[in-house]
Amino acid sequence: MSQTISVDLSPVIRRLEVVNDNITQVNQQVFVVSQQGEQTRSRLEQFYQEFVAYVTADALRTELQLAETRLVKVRQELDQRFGHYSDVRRRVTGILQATDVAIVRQETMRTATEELMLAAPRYWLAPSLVALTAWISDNQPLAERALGEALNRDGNKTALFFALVCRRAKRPRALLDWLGRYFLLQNPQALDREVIVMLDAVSNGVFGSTAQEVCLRVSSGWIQELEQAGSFLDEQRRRWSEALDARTPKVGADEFLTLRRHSPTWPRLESALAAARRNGQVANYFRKLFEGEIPVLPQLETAVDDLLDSLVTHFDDEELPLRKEDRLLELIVKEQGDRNAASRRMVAEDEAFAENMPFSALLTNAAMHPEASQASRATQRYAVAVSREWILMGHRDLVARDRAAVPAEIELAIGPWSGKSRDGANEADLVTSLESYYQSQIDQAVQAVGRGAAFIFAIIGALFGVLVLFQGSWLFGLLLLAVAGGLFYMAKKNQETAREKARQQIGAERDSALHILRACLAELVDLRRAWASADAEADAVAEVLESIHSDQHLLRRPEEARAILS
Amino acid sequence: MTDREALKSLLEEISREFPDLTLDQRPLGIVSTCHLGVPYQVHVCDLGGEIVEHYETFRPMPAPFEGARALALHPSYAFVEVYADGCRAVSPGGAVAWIGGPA
Repeated sequence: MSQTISVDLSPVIRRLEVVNDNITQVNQQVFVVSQQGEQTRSRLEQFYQEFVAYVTADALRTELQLAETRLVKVRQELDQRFGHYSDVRRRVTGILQATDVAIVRQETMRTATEELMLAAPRYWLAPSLVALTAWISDNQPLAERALGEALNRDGNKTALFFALVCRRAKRPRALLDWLGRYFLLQNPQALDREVIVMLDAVSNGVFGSTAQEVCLRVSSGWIQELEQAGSFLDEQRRRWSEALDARTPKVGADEFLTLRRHSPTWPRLESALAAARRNGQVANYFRKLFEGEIPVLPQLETAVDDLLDSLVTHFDDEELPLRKEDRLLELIVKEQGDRNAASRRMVAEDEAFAENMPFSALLTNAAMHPEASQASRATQRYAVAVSREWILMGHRDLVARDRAAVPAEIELAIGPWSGKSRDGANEADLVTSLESYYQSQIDQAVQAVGRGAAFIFAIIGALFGVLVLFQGSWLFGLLLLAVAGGLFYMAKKNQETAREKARQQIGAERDSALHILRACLAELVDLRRAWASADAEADAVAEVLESIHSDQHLLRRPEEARAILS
Repeated sequence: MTDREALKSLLEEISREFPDLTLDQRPLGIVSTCHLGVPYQVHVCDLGGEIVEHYETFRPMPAPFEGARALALHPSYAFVEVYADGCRAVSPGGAVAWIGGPA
């Protein structure tokens, strides 16, 4: 007796299909979540970079505003604390010029200077002015007493002041006496900053040929004395290396954008390129310094008055701390709020604000920091001509240091892939490496995509089907096998779809990485070329300096014969 | 003359020329461009070990010689003397650039 078992499997199949659909959806959602996670990470990274850039820009803005405000305050303080000195300073050339034209009564001048003496205690210039008016009015006892007080307050400046006054009055004998006194007070290891005024007078030809020769002889003696110290040359190499290093430009923020983002070696590359570009800056600096004629003021009186103005205005040590702060703030403003860059430049100028310094340092400051040291262009030329050999040595050391620091191998990090290149010549190897890396990523991702629950149901269904077939229920068995086949087909199809998505996504990442890699290598080639071209400029620096001869750079006044520096 | 003999004769010449130099004032070695061809890039005359060794592009020299490789390869320098505290790059014209402290 045969018994037919009839089971309606269609609800089971529908449920299985629903389960399979749900599993596929879950798979897709997991994939989407994973993609979103990656996008979120990438956006967070971008947001972090933007945030850091914003914070940096804000810090620079704040620093710039603070520096501008503080600069005004420092200048006000200078004016408040030392403003009364300005009155005294203005009287110097006022008295001399009034005497030239003889239109002010001597009594008026005497009263005015005596009032200044009361108004500016401790200031060396007040008794100097009293002595000057006493000398003009032929009052020797008063002149001597006032002079004694002025020399007591500041022997160096007083001696140089009267040397210049004597030159103005065309009294060569007295000029030499005052200069002799001035040089007696000097120690070449620790000169006061106003020596620069003496050098200005020499290089501009203001002192006249006899006094000029004396000054040049003395300054050569200073150099010889300094050279006797064993460490002198080392000091000079270091000093000039630092002074030239301060001229290093910055690499533009819009240059080599891809390398900047994708090379961990970028900071070293940037520093190497900036250092090489310094060669051009330094060569131009010296080239421009020696270009063209320096105009000579036709009137000796005017030339001396300029030096007197400089002597009485820029070299008072009491004002130094404020003037140093003034300069640092000025540099912060120039560097658009970058305090670190300003501080680096200030380190190189630091010696120019010291109360005293060796003659060699004074020459360096005159050549490289004319604003801080108050050196004229003629003095700059003179200082460079005298320091030529030291500059060449310092520059050679600096260039060698920078060449040694150029990174030979550049690391590249593009997403999770990393590679190395020297000059971009190994592009084919790097492309192969990157492609094989991403191929392995694709293989892993494809392997990771499973067949899902539908495949398991398909196997279970097929096993049931075979079992039922063996029990003799052909129809039901075949039905189960058909359902299992359908499920298997669906599982396979879904698996392929998920795998294709993974292939496409990682493939897109690979294409983008390849694009970045090629851009990096192209920029690396450009950077190496830019470096080589800037590095070659090192020879230009040597050429410019070697073409300088010390006998070309002493100006001569119309009333003097040509002066030659031996 | 072999490399070793040439180096020995150079060392003897240095000792004769500068008898007062103490050991730490003498160069540890001299690095210069190697002209053997690819893959060799630089070689070191190790004055302490009295040997000449040639290095390929991919093989780093031992410290402190490796620091002189970039300078030795630069056409502006004939060779680089390596000291314990720095090095001296010597140009074909004889001009010397100092890197690091005085020897």
